[in-house]
Amino acid sequence: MSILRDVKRTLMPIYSGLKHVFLKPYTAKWPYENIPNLSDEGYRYDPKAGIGYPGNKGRHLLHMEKCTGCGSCDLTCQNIAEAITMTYGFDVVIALDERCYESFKESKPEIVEALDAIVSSFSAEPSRIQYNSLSSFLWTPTDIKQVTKVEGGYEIKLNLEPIFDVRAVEVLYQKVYHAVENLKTAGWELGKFEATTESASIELSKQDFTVKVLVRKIDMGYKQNKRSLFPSIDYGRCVMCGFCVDACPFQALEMTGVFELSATSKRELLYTPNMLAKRPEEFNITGIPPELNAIERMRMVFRRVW
Amino acid sequence: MDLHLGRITWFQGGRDKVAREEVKSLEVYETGPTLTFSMGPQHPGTGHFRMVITVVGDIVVRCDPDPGFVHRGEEKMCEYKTWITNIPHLERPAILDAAGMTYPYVLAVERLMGVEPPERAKYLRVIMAELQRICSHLYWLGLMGVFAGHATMYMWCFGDREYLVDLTQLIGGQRITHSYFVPGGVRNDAPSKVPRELVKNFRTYYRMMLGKDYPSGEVPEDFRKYVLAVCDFFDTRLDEYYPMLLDSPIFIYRTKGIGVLKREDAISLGVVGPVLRGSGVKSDTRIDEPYDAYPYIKFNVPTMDGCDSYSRMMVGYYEMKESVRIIKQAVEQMPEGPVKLKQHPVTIKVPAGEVFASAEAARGQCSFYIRSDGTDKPYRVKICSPSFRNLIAMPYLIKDVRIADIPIIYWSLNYWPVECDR
Repeated sequence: MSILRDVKRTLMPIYSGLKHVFLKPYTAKWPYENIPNLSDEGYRYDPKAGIGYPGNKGRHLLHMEKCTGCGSCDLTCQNIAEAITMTYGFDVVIALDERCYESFKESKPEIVEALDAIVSSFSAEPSRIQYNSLSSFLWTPTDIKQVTKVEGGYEIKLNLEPIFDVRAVEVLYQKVYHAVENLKTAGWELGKFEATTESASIELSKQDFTVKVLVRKIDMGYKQNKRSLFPSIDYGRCVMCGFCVDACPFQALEMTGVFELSATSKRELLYTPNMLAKRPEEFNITGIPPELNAIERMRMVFRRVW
Repeated sequence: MDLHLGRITWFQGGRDKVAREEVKSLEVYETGPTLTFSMGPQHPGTGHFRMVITVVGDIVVRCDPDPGFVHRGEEKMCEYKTWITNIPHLERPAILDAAGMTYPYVLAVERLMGVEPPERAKYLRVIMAELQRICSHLYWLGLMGVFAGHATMYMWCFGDREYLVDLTQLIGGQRITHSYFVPGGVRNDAPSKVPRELVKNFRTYYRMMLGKDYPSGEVPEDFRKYVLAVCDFFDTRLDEYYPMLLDSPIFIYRTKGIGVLKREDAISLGVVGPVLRGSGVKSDTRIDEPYDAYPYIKFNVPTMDGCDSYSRMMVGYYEMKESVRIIKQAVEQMPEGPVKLKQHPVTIKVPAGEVFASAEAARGQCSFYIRSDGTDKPYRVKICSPSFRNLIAMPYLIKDVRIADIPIIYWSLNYWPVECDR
């Protein structure tokens, strides 16, 4: 009988497999389609009841109107992945005295050279990345946003996204350092240098021109967070365990179902508080990618992936 | 259930006998020319792990396992992190079986604190642990298909695993590393409603795999009923696995009589889990030292007397069936109520003392020894993982076999290098 059994055993896998030839296949064409298995519910934690709500542990959502900048999430994450850092937002201002401003208007080569170097250094790669310091990557080609007259001169505000970092001096180190190196070779001299946590400044002078670069903390204007201190998250390190959500006593952090966190460089994975405050709907990346050309789009339509 | 297949003697003594006779006739131990080479450390199947293998012709005469390539210092790391923040990194040694790795840790800390989790949390833990056991075993079975040259099994296992992983995500929020267990319960309750999209998708998949609609017409969106539906579906699928892989002559010829670990040897070497049960020893931490909700649940501990690779795979297969039974019972018996003790979410106080706890992970018994000096961090954490205990059997098994049998024997031990190296 064993021969018959052997034949049956040999044929059964073929029979089991053949059944599936006639059944409709099912494949989710991600990222051109959404994955239907995911709910939009995100993981949340109720500090009063002391219990979490079930949901996906994906990208965080920061409620800036609730965050007090206490740093509980940072403290917890220091023990897990060191992904969260408490950061201030910074603005960059170039201060000129009246005589310098007049010569800037007249396009004197020295002053134009200095401003050009400073402004262009903001769109360059940072000179160094400090351990556990963050700097936002959203650099648009920089230009002048606003010129205000203050006592004893003018202030030129640069058209930048807020730069989030742990200290003001990091902005100088990472961004203005390029310009300072270049200007030194052009004969500019380094003047007074001041740095505290919330502001930093550096002076550059040549002949009798003086240019001052100021880094100032932005006041976000939230009542509960006078220091304007918010968490930034490095998704290159985050393990999505959600213990930061548990640790927040004010329900300011929660998680969303967004898991599509791909990036083309490591720095793009540093999410600033402004980005974390965006709702997941604004982060939807499914659909035809915009960088595809017309022929590829046509092919996708024909293949019915869209 | 108890193993109508245990009696199969049909293929016994076929290949193994031939190989042994061949070795004898070559007299390799005395005179034959030998060749030594490394298998790995670019992974021979799972993680980074090396075997130094000595062969005579096609026959392996010696195998020296060389673990340690993925040592991460988990035990030392535990001393620098607090009691609860230890949990995410303790999952990493065995990400497929995160629940199995954190379970003994959580049990140990609870014993040290002298607390008992709420009833509902116990059942939720059991459900999660069994789900992860099935996922881990499916990975085991699927890759065994790959090693034995059976690609269909790999596709099937991973396709079906998707719905169990989704269930894990529904409960714990993540597909594999969920950090769901904490001392004093679980982090969140199971959801009451299952997303409509998921149910719809499951129905499509059900129709695709089984060629018919789900019997009751509508898969309900109630969590309890959905879990039962997935369990039923998976049970039906397991029945299809049997003729596809485990009863197929190709697979039987590759595994039957290969890598024989006798009952006495298994006991004296101290192997655990499916390897021990595949050698006919009925030993399971869930039965021997029951913890949480396991005493209230009826289930068998499958054992096989074949002592070879095939028996170990069959034990894994039947364990999946038992796990489905456990999940079904746990979901039905699960009481309402709180799921976590009132405590600070990330900072807990653990009194000084020492404790030992073990739980049945997917690969066998996983044990933790913890010593606390009353601070917010453990003083010492010692992990005894199942792969570490099964590693010792490898040089005994990979001997007098052909080179082509090495992957089969290696993977039939369900060895996971990261879990072993910790």
